[in-house]
Amino acid sequence: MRRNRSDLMQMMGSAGDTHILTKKWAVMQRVPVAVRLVTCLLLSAFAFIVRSPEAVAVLAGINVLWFVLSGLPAAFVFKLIKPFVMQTVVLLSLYLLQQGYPAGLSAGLKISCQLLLTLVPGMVLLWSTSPSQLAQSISRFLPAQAAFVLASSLHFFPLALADMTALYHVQVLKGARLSLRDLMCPWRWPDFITCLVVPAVVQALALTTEIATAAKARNFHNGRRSCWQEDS
Amino acid sequence: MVTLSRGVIFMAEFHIVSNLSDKAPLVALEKFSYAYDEQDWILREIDWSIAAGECHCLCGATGSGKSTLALALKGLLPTGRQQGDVHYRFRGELPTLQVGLVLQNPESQLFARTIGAEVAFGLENMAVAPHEMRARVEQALATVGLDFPLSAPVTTLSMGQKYRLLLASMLVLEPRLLVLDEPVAQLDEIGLRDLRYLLRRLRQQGVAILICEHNSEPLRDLIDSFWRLDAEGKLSPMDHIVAPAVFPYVPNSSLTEREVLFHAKGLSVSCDGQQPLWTADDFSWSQGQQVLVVGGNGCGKSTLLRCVCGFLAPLAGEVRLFGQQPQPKTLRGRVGWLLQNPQRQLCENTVYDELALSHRLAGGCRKERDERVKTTLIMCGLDHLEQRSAHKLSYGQKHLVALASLLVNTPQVLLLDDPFAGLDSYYQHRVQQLLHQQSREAGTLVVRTSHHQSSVTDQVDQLHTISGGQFATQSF
Repeated sequence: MRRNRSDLMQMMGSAGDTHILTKKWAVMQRVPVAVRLVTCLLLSAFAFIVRSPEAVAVLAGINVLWFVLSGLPAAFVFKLIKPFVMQTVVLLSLYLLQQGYPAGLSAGLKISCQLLLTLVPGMVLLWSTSPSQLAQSISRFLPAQAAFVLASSLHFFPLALADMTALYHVQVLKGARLSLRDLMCPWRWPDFITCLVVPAVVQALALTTEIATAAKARNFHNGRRSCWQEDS
Repeated sequence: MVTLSRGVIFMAEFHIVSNLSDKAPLVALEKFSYAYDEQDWILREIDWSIAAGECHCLCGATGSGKSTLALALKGLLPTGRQQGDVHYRFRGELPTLQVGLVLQNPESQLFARTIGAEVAFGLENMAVAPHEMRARVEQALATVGLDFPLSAPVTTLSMGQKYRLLLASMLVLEPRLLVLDEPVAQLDEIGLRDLRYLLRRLRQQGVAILICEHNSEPLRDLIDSFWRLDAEGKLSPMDHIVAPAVFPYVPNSSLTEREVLFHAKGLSVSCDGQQPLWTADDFSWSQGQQVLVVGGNGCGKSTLLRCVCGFLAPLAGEVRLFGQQPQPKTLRGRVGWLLQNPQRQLCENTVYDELALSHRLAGGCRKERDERVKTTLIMCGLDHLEQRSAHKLSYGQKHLVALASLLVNTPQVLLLDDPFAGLDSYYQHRVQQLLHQQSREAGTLVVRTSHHQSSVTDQVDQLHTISGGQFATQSF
């Protein structure tokens, strides 16, 4: 069946790349993908390690630099703001409830920033690096099958997301209470599981089977493979 | 040289040339039977063969085993019970490598970001040396007439171009037999025209082609032999294809004064919030009407449906549903939306529970639930399946269950995204019948999208055509 890819997929496509390549300061684009991957892992790891607010601020600055040097358009920042705000609200509420004011406020903010700093390097890497480039790098130190699974998960994630969005729309029209506010009420959770989680899992399994069959139809196997050179 | 859509020129010849005068079968099935695990035989004692340059069409109802046969030819059947043999007259240790298989959904078969990497994926799997790849990739792309740089992103291609890219990805592996699983459902008119031309050329080059398709009419002039898989899994030759039945449409005259349910003023829609997909003059849809929106792949049909429900704001203009700006939360149970692949929207363990859940979610009265569900099941001809798991039914039956789960609430507006795609003529007829009944008796506004402008167009009250960025309206 025909399926349209999400806007995210389009952003990961040519338009974004062209935009990146035209920026002179996008120096990370000229750095090997393996180096970018290691940098991303290190930055995410540091987000867990740092403790003091000063260290969190320094790490945030490094992340901003990483974002800028990756040559991503400023519009991508807005994609991070909404989940950050939502996450902060939830965490602050929980911390204020547990530790009271003002201890809960600073602790909640710090944890929220740390969580964001864990995710940002990965998001920047995904937005600025194509799945095939990532797959090429990963395949150097992982077995072919594992590298393929990882690269395919990244590649098909927007497709799975588009399917899930369509499902969400259909279920909301049916009457399912699936908004964030609705999910604050535990008695709505069974409906959330029945209407969204169960069909989404079934859908994801079906998609996985489809992808696996398609890969086998192109003679994919877990043996020796060669690698297409984009610039050859 | 023949110029096709978007200035594409087919120039290259596919360089695997089989001897067309050799009528010995390339592939032959001998008393072949297959069953998934302990289930009944889905393919039963099949004798079939195909020679170089022949084009066969495998017809049969939805779920009759066409895709299973395609997988068998490629050697991709999961472990199950199997009898009989598949004979290949190919050289090499693994003959199945010379069978090319294009599955139904192009989106789930595209693994790479760029066109070059996509075509090269098969070569990578065959461990072909990187320096040999480029020439072969360019040759395959030229064969299918895709004149794009190798670094061009796959996401910018239309669905028809994506399908040709998949064909190039197969041709680069130099198959002797090409199997296409339901290509018609995926492609619009332009895509089908390009596919017809390409397949004709491949036949001339000696490639054997098997098309698994229940709607083979658009490819009819290519096909040498028609075969039919029946419900028992037996294969028999067919003299001709059976045209799908068309339900006689009776215009809805019971509603003399129809209430306008949807009105669009100067509407323009966009996926990315910047580039308009199309712009339209003012139009409106009324109670009890049947509306059909026709347009090519990716032209913005589904985007329109998202706008109608308020999931997407128009780029310009204004839409009014039930007299107000649409808000999804306020439309619960009043608007039903059937996805193109409706089995994706099934949630419950049994058919009965599926309908009961819909009724409950829409806020239906608990006392009336049992009666409503049973009435709807009878109306849709699903009453004998009420305790069966919807997930284990045939594709057509799942389609009906998903539709029934919407009809149980008698929605005022029913949106259907290409509802006949992938359905055989029997289930197309059943769905069509239910939609007519719903609009005539319950006054439901039925809005359908399709990328094929076929004979069904004369059975609607209003036809919209999306072409060249314009949304045209035609009332009957």
